[in-house]
Amino acid sequence: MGELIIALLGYIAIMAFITFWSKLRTRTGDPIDYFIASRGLSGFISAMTYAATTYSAFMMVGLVGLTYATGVGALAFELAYLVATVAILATFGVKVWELSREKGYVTPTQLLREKYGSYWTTVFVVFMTAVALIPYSAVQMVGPATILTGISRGSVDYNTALTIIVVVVLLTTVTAGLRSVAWTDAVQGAVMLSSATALVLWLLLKTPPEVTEPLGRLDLLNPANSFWTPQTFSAYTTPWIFFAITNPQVFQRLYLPKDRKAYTKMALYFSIFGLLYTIITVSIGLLARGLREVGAIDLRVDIRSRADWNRVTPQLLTYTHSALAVLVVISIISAATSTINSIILTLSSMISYDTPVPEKLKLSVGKVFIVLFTFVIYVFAITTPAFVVDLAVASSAILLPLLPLYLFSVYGYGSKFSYTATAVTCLPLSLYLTTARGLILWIPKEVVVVSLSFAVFALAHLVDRYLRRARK
Amino acid sequence: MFFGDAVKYLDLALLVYVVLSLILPYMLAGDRGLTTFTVYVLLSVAAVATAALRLKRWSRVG
Repeated sequence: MGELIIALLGYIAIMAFITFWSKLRTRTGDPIDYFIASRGLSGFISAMTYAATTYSAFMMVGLVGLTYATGVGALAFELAYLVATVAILATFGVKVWELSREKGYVTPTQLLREKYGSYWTTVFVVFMTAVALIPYSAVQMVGPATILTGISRGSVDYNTALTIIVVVVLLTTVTAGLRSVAWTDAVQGAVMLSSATALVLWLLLKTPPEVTEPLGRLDLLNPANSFWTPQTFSAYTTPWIFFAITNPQVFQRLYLPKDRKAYTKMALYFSIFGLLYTIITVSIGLLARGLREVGAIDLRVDIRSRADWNRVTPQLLTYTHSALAVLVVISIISAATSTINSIILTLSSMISYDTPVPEKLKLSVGKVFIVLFTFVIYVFAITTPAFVVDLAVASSAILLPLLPLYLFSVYGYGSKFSYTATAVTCLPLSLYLTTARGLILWIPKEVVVVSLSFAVFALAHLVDRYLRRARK
Repeated sequence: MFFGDAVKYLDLALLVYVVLSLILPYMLAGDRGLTTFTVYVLLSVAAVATAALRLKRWSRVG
């Protein structure tokens, strides 16, 4: 376990070095530089921070386990997400980038506030976004901490593992804001991709050619098997295909490239990263299952228990060389911290810019909130109350009512009334629907939330127009 | 004029790829080989190439 301790110390040292190097390039006291690096990032760094923010620890833990248990449908779900994100970046994203330059936006919710003109509705949207994303960040901490504790066979205890993640998050976020977050994201993204590649190559070397036979026999190469019914597939894909619009930490990344060429490079490099990372992680899950079916490895995972699916990667690592296991563990911690620090920085920028904070205090308040948010996430991660897990699972679905709001604000439709009506009714309804237990609907809850949000927005817009005309 | 039309077709192609990615599992139902894997990878590559073309045109205009 000496290797793991050395690797962890090395990881923290590299993160600290990059952070202080970024600090030298930060304009002290300028909130715009702190929160969005003065909209001046290169295409490559923008792409890497976009990828590291989007792809969390879910990929190497959740997606590997999901593929292992349910087969190639997981690839269809994850690549549907990628295709939709690529389309969003090439169409909607360019409009957002142009607007951010023209109007000087710093936060995603600033766009809503200025387009629709409702201050207090935006404060409510910021609050609901934090409700959805803080528990999601807490669960991001829990997974890697559990794996780290397991791999070290208890020599790194759970609280120490959580503390390591908190230290890296606070270090990279508070010190130099977006510049340190983006640069550390770039390095962490490289670690994520290279470790996943090493693991899949190791699996390929162990895999006999006849491995597709048991996978086919078990219906795991069928994208429409008993697990991937149309209901399940739409429930999984609906929040994810709109993730780039509804999740503020991803949306804010559209503001970062310094010019059109940098934006284009960001979109292309991210797409290549996403495609490779998805194929690799899904292949790890399929190959692990194939090897288990041919008896080459013995993974003790109960397919019937969903919670057990997350044990595939940690168990797989017990078969690899210890250096590879350590690299993969560091990559899982990297994936988690690069997602959490982006969420915290974006939420703190929304608090600074979209709630009543005086201009002079924006930066100080933002930094105080970074520490406060990190502390809240740490407490949630230590205690992990059941509602936190429910909220984390549902986080992307909770934010779905923001889809028509962002979409129509960019294309110039809607009014203050339609904005307020949709936010005030659909966000709480979405929170209720996506976290309620025992509620059975024929249509997936996610599809209901999206449809209702568009319907409420359109109806409120029409009523508003009618009332305005009647008044004239 | 040509640029505007080309962008419209590229946007349409991207929309088609998104719709295809959502219905393909049921078009490929019953696969016991690597067809789904291959088709999804090809679809993603096509989407990335179309987006690249769309963005190259946009970045040149600016």
